Amino acid sequence: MNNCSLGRAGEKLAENFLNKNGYKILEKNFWCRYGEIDLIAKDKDYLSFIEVKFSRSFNFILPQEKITKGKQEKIKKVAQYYLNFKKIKLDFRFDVILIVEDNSKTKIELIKNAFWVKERI
Amino acid sequence: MLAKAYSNAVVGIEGYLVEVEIDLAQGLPAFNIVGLPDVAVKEAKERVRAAIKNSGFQFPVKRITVNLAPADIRKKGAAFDLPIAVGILAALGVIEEETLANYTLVGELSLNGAVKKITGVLSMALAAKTEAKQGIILPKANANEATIVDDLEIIAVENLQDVINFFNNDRSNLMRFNQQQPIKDQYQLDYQDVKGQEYAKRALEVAATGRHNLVMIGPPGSGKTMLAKRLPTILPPLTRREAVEVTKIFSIIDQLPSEESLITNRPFRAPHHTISNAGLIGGGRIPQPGEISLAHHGVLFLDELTEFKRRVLEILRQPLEEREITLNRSAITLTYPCEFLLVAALNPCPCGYYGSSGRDCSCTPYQRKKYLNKISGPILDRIDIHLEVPRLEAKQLTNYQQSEKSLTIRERVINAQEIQLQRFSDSKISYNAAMNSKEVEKYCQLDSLAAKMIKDAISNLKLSARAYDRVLKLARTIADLAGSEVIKVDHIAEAIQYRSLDRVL
Repeated sequence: MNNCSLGRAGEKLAENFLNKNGYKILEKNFWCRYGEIDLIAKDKDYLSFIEVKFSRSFNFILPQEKITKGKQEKIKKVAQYYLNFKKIKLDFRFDVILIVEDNSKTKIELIKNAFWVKERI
Repeated sequence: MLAKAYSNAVVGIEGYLVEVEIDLAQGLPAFNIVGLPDVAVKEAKERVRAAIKNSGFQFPVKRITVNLAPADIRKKGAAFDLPIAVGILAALGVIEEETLANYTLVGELSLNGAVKKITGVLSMALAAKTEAKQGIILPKANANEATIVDDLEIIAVENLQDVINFFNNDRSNLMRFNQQQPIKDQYQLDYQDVKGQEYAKRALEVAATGRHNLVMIGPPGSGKTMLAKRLPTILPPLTRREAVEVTKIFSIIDQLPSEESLITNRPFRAPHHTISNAGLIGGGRIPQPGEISLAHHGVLFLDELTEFKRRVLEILRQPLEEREITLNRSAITLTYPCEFLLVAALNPCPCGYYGSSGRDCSCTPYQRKKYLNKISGPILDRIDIHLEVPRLEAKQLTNYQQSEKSLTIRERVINAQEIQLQRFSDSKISYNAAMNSKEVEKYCQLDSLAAKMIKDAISNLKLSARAYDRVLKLARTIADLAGSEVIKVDHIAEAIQYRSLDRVL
């Protein structure tokens, strides 16, 4: 499998996982000029922007480390674009799903509210 | 969702009320604090978030804005953690806002929700009282300090949950203030431990009575430090107002003894002679009190006066006159009180034995002059009593006779202080040492013999006009100790004895 199909497979796994956890998937791979968000879902009263990270175990870098400051900024921009675009008024947050595959055993972890916005005043 | 909690902060030694407004809004999840916070206040975000979560509550995923009003005073320290956290919980509806408005909250939060000790609680509690709040919620470790304030509920909390319980009508943490107990001071030291030196003890008694600054000159080992250390034991006990002032200062710099709520002993501060300007009078970007303010209502003892840096000594001039110190910095100007009794000690010459009976001095006259010249005229001018402390003779050292107790001396001091308080009842000063020349003229009435004696002293000992004023003030104190309305010849004679440096220099 190449990286692209690996990612797709990961997103599929995440989708199933979220459905099981009561999320309602609204968008998959929402794409705009600012970038892409893997999944957008509704969890009770919250709108959740979800980034999926997939990795094979024993990589040097843990999946959560791959979500850098830059990536966070990008997700925020897309999220704002999405809210404007759809004219949604809801509390929202950013979640991250980590999938680690280790010898055909798969571990899925959901981090709710993974990062916040830091603003300069 | 808007909530408002109240808190207190300290500027200088005075507390003031801070409104902590919290707004939870829709939008990008963020946590912002406005209202001139310093770094420690900004970092409250992380502590508050963790503390709320670890106390079993959901931290709101909202756009959180915290405003600390008044917005133009710089806020520092971690004491706002608790009001911010409680404010957020109130905005979420966990705590009722109506009761919240009657209390002020102060305290630093730990990540697990525990409330930790802060500084300056006494000033904060006093501010809460002046703002007519019903009570103050504060860390348990600080509770003792606040119990001095009457008419205020003191709620000592150990963690965030305690605060929530309190607002849900659990009053088990409520502490009342200590009934105004009489102020009782206790000292380990006593003048009866000092053998001999009756002359010096008498001079210290005079100094304590009229609050005359004093310098002791004597060879090493003559007991100068011992004598000075016992001076607080003969000063009258602190009044309640004075004790609160002293406690406030110590509370700000976090040097309060933990078991005491109110400092009842007069402070005795003996800074080392390597002390810097800022260490002595206070300083820093936001000025902190220095040693002179810590010696407020107590004794500032400068041992080895000649070893102090000259510049450090010179900055004492103003505070000695004003009895307060104003520290101007670009960020803020603060005034701290510093009504202290200055006691200095020095050797008569570099080797230390000039004029002493047992050993010969090995210094040249030039060396001696240079040594004493380290103390400038203006500083010496502000010191009323020059006391020579000789070495003890063998006979005095081995004498087992007990000398006078501090308490006996103190009784005389208190009596003489009453006379002074009555004399100055309608003026600003309260001690003889603070008289200006007009007041000296008014209050220092001499009888004819005394007048003649001081005239002789001026011509024979070449006393300056300034020294003349000092002698009269001292004589006034001595007469007060003797209970005499008019200054008599023996009072003047004793006073002249205490001006030995006028003759040397």
